[in-house]
Amino acid sequence: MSEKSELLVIKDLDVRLFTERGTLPVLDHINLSLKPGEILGIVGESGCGKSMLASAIMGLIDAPLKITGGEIVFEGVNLVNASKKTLQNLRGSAISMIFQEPMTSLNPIMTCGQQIVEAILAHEKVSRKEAVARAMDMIKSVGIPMPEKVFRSVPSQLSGGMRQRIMIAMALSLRPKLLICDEPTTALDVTVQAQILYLIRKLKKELNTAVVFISHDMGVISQMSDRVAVMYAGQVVELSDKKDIFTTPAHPYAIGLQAAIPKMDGEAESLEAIPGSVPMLYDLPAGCLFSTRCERCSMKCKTEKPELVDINEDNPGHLVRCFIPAI
Amino acid sequence: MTKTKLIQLDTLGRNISETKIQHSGYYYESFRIFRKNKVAMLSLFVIILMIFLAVAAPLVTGFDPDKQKLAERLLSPGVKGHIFGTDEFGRDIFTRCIYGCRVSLSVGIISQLIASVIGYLMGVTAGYFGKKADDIISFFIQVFSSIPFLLFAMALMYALGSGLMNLYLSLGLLSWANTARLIRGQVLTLKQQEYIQACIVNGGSSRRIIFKHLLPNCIPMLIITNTLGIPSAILTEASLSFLGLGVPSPTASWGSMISGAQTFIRTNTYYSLFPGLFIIVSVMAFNMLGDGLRDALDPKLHK
Amino acid sequence: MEHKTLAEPVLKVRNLKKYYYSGGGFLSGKKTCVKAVNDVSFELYKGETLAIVGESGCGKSTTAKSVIRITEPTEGSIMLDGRDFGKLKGEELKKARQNIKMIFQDPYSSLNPRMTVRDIIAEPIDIAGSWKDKEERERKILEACDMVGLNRDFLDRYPHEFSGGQRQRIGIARAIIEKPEVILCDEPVSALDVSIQAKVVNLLKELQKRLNISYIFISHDMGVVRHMADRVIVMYLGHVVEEGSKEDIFESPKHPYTKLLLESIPVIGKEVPEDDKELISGDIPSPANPPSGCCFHTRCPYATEECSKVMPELREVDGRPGHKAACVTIV
Repeated sequence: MSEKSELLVIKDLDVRLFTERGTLPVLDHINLSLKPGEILGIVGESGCGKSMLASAIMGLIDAPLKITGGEIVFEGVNLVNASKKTLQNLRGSAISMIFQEPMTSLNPIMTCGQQIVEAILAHEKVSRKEAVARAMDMIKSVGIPMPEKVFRSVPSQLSGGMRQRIMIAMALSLRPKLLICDEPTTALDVTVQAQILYLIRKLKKELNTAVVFISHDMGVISQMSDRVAVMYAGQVVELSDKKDIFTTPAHPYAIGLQAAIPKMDGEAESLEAIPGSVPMLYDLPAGCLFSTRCERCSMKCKTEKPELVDINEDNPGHLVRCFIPAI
Repeated sequence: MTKTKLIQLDTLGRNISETKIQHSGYYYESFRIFRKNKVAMLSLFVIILMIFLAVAAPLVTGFDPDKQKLAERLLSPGVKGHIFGTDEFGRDIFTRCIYGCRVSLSVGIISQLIASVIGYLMGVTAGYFGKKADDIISFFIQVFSSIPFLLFAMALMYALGSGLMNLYLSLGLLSWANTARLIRGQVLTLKQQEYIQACIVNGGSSRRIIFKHLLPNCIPMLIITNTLGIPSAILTEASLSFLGLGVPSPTASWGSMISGAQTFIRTNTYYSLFPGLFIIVSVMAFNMLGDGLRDALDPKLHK
Repeated sequence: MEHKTLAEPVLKVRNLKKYYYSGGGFLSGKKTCVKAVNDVSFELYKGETLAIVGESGCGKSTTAKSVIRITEPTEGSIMLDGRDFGKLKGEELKKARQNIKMIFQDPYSSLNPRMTVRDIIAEPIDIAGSWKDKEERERKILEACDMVGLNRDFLDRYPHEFSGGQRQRIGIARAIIEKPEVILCDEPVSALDVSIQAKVVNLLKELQKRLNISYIFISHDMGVVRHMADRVIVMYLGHVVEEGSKEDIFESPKHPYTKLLLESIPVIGKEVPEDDKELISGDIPSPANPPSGCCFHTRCPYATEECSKVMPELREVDGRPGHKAACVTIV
């Protein structure tokens, strides 16, 4: 696995929140990498820092938050200390993003078509006519019925699913190498979610875009990802191939997260809940961050911080941050 | 707050007594934020000082505000113990400025209290009941908002006659519309909250919803709008008194003092300067206090 | 399940309709009518959970709100304990409300931020006046508090100091303090994280066993429904399209929409097939402008000419009592 083949490498990334209670670790030593055409799923509960990670990659971290260490290398360029101009050029063209609520990221008074055209014109030197044609192609390719009508509609005239399709059309109109999806289907109904997930898979295949797919839903992650990172309280606690993480999860949190989901087969009298709640950032435990809720917690877990390490030498690539992983 | 620590178990028998929770009320938190705002704290200090002066006026100064002493007319500041000098009837200007606080502050505060009560009741009726009530009240809000403020105040004072009570009433009746409009909007959003539905489900009456649920949630807005309304009431009172429509003489009021000082503006500038300064300082203090309160009461800034 | 059908239901809803009218006023153009709930009937038996599932805009929440009269239903009867709850007024209504409560979706907007937890939990008994002295009130509050596993020390605090899961416990304590027979749960766990969601689901099941409560459980999450429900109603655009026991709906769904709904759920372990294809095309139609005939025919893979003309009746399928579907293509 040479670094040359990686599209995106995040190395020891630290993001801190500066408050009157002191400096809080929002993201702590994140190490992730992504190859071209790969989908990396990031799963975790609210407040685990998964959306913050998306903002960090997009260069959208702003005071009182700050990147205090590490690097985000995209095609050999370190985004952390890149100039504003470099970031602006990359954003939208080489890296683009889809948000949870498309309504807030679309301009409510511009027609959908216009917005895509403007996005193309902002990054590429093409004639307006060409841009319009490409925007129309894009709208057609995301499976919108009556594309001519939608092209001339403003976002509020469309349904949630259609808006998300427009967002995707806009994000992919410049054929980015990396697409970040931050909970793209959370606001949608399950049948529409199925359509959007299919669309992202299909377009990814056609364009060979690498995708960072963020979700709180283990089911969605399992359908979308090649590799999965489980996050807890600002750290990656488990990182591996999709197969490993869903068949042989090793971190107690990853196990608990799956046990808490109501199954669609078999019978269970009561769901297995994870005891306690996520620790506050200003009140993190001294040792392993999950030690307050972990049933296998030992003395060592309470005092020392585990590192993210490979747990199986025969099958490298299954990284777990735990002293006593389940194997 | 509680000293004894009970071990609490949740339904699955797990200890949940250690669940960390910070303890603070909404107004405590607001005060904590407010305290850090130096400008607002200074304004609050100035206002408290003015209220103190107004209440304890006879203790602060040895002069009678209304008693005329023609022998001591138009003295300069500092002469014969008159720190701000005297006016054309030989009355101590400092004393009259302090007694003027009584009029201005009480007009500002009481008229806004009246406006709060009318504004809240009107706004909540329009917002909560909707339909016809909303149509009628919204119409009146429109009407009251389109009347020129000072002209209407003058007309009312002509009709009611001058006097403190009438000042409270007319200014209160004039400024409720703004409060009502804001409260109506607030209630329309609050009405969608599920705790209102929960109260309905539990059989709660409209009265309970209006006073137990909506009022406590509207109080921050009432405080802010009406603190910011006080300066304009003070200014209107000063304007009315200047025109001779405010409090009847000889009661001291900043507006009537400036009116009296007009004739002497070239020879005795300080005479108009001091009541003017009182007006500016009090108006600015209330404005900055209102701004400070707006920041402190904003739930988004809590935590 | 059979024995239950012999018993008298706790709640019996017949032909419930809720229409919303808009426009038609001065300068506001044509009057439109949205049929949010269109002819819904069901029974709820003692101690059972009846789930109502469907996607946004299908009328499941409006059904609950009409049943409990947060919004007045346009038509239909709601029989609670043998009395027509829908027609009650004043004191009688207030009294009947003690027996039917609701748990809300949003743990942040369902608790008044300016009230202490104690006053929030006590609100139902304060309104009903069902305590004689302060001690009795306190006793009832503590009992409810213990039943939902809420720390007694927290009673004097304000809602903003709690996490979503704990807030939902407070909302549940408020609903059970008068030990009602029926509780309507409107998406009670959909705003919570998975690990917290499991706790609340377990709590609801445990309370049901202890107090013999009947739930109407509204949700869009089929996984949670499968875990909670005894019987299930599937709604689409204001209509009931399928009704049956949990086994009927999850093991042998008959209506194409139910099948689609179940297939759409992303499940761990269910691989994306090689010939990855779209399960369904098209969007949910607007309830203001529903399609003619069967409301699902615009998206249905089995739709025939007849479907766009005839509105199918809800009828028994498979010869199984209680399993009904509204579709003409089912034989």
